[in-house]
Amino acid sequence: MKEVAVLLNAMREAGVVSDYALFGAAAQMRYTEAVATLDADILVAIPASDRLDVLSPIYTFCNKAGYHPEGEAVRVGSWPVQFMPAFSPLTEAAMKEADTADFDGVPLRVVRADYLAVLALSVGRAKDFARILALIESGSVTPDRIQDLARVYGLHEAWIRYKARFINE
Amino acid sequence: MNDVPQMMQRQADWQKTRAHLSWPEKMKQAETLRDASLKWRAKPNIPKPASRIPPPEY
Repeated sequence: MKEVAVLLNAMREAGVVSDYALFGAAAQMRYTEAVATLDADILVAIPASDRLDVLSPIYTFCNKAGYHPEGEAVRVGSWPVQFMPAFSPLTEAAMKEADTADFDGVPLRVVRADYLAVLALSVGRAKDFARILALIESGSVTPDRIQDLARVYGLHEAWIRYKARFINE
Repeated sequence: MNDVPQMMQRQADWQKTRAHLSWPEKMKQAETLRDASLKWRAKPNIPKPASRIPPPEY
């Protein structure tokens, strides 16, 4: 993951992306026990472009750095890395409000626990629901904070359903 | 076997302490988990669910 952090910082310095933030299971592990995951998910902000394939400059940069595509991802060291453009107000805010953490001495932008929980709520798979519970149990986010953010991003109904199903006894 | 609930609780408490490891350490654990998972997925002889129930033999 250190290699991923170095690559992402270089990408930002080169202006290929204007910002980035790690999210998903790899980011969750900052707060919880280790969990099984196959790849690292990265939100990216791409400078204004009229290209149809907005991820193309990222793939070109990675290729020049010696990192090659593998399915829908780019293999960086031992991690397949998937890039996702920040495409909605929620993902944009999650990236903008991300922490800059230290990963083995390298700065790495990572989505905060509260936004991780609301992103998981917005996706809504079983493993996303488990992620919300794990984050709450770790004490890194409260149900009240999730509720506040869910309301801002149009997920209030989804949160009410989630709460009734998994939190309220 | 009346102490089983206590044993389970101790195990759960011990597992929770792993959340306090450093993030890089937890990522190394995740890499180990992932590699083990990929090896299992690559095994050709994992039984698959039967596509249909075979007819009874009389």
